[in-house]
Amino acid sequence: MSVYEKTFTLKDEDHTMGNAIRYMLNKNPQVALAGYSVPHPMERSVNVRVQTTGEVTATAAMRDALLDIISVCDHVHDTFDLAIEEHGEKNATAMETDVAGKGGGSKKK
Amino acid sequence: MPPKRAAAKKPPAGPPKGSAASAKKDPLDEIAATIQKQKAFVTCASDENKHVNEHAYSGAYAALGIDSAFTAEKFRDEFKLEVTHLDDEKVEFEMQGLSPAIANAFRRILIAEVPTMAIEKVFMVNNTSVIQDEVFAHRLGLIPIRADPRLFDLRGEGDTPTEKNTIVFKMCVKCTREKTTDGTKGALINDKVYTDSLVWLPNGSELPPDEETKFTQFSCDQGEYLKKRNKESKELGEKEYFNRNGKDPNVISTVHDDILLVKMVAGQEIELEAHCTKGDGKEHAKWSPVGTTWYRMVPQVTFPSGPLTGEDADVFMRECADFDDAHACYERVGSDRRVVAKNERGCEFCVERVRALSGEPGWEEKVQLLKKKDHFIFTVESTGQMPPELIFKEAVNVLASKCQSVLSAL
Repeated sequence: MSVYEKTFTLKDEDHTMGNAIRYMLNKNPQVALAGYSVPHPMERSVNVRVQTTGEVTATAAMRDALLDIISVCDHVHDTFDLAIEEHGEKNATAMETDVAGKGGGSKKK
Repeated sequence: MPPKRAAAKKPPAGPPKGSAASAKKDPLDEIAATIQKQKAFVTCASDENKHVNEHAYSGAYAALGIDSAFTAEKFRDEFKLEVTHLDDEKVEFEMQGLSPAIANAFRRILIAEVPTMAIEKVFMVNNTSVIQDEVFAHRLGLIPIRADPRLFDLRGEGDTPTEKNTIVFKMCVKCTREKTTDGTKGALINDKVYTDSLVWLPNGSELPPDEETKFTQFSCDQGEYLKKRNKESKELGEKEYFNRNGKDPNVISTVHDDILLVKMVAGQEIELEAHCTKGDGKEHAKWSPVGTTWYRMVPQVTFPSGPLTGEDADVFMRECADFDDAHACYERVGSDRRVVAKNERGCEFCVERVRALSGEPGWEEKVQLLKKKDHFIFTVESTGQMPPELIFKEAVNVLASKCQSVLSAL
C-alpha cells in the first residue's frame, strides 16, 4: 500500500461517474492503471482503482481527472448555449425570408 | 500442447489487398491508414460490428505519433456542437470530439438524475369510483407537473412540508346526471375526469390538521414565493425559461389539462389532495424529466475501392437505392454512370441495405457502412415540465457538481 495506488469508493454513485472517471484517468500519462467496478448491482456504490507510474500520488491523479471532467462540462455547457442561440438566429432569418409567413419557430430552413 | 502451438504458427500474413496495384506505396503507410480507420470508425459488417472499442489509454496509438492524453486545450479545439432541431418538446443536436464515456454519462444523468417535481403523496378523503386508491395514486404520480424544479428544495424524511418544498393540488369531483323534465335519463356530468380537475392550492393543504399530522405549513402564498425566486434569478442574469408560450412562471399547473385520469358513473365521487415533492429518476421514473433520450453514432456509407461503375453500380442501385422513387441518397453521374453518394450518411431506409450488401461475396471491399465513434446525434425528448435544452444544460451541471462533491471529499 503506497500513496501511488489507491481504491476509491464513491457512495451513492454508479456507472455514470465510474466510467467517466475511469476514462479520464486512463487519459492521463502518469496513470499506469485505472479501472472501476460496481461491487453489487443493488448497492449504490462504485470502486475506482488508480495506480500511478510514481510521478504523482493516486489522489492527485484522481483530482486531475475530476477537474478535467469539470472543464469538459463547462465547455460543453457554454458551447451548447452558443449553439442554441445560433440555431435561434438561423430560424429567425429563415422566418423573415418565409414569404408565406406561416413558418413556426421550430421550422427548419 | 504441441497442436495449439502449431496452430499459432501461421504463415506471415500477405500484403494487404490492392498493394500490388500501387506497389510504390509504403506498406507501413497502408497499415497506419488502416489503424487510423479502425480508431475512428466502427465498421458495420453484415454479421457483426467490427472495431467497436475505444482505446482510452493515453499511450494508445503512440506508434502512429498520436498523443492520446487528455488536455483541456485539445478538447476545446476538437469539440464541436451544432443544434439541428429545437422545439418545445424536443432538441436534437450533434456533438463531435467527445468520448462515449462522457456522452453516456450525460444520457444517464438526463434520464435518472435531473430532478423534477412530481406527485408523491396522495391523501384520499373519499373515493367511490371503481379505481382503487393505490392504483389511482400511482396514476396521479405519473402526471407531468409544470413547475421549475430549480426553485424548490428537496424534502427529506422528517422535513416540514412548506411552500419551498411542496406543491399541493386538490381534486374534488362528483359524477351526476343532468335533470330532465320528461322522466328520461339525463346526460352524465363529470363522467370523465381529466387532469384539469386538479386545482393548485398556493396556500397549501386545506385538510383539517389532526394531532399527529399538520399536512403543510406554508409561511406565504406559493405564487408570491415563486415571484420572488424568479425575480432573484432574473437579477442573476438567468433566463426565464417558463415564460414561453405566454405561460405565467409564477403559476403552477399540470403540463397537459386533457389527460384522462378516471371514468365514473352517476353517484360516484373522488375527493383528494395530492402533494408534489422534488425527486429524480433513479428513485422513480415519474421524476424523470425526459420521455426518453438517446444518442447514435453518425453513419457513413463509403466505397473503399473507389466509385462503383458498370455492373457493380447497377447491382448497388438495385439493392440499396431504387426501392423507392423518392429515395435520393445516391445518384449516377458522368459518362461512366458511376455511383456517387449525395447523402453520405444515407438514411434509415438505405443504411441497413448497404450493410446487408457489404456481406455479399466480393462486396466487402466495394461498399462499407461505417459509424464515427466520436460523433453523436443526441436527442432529448422532454415530458413538458422543462424545455428540452434546459434539461440538457441541467444534466451537464449535475455531472460537474457530482465531480465537485467527490473533489471536496478527497
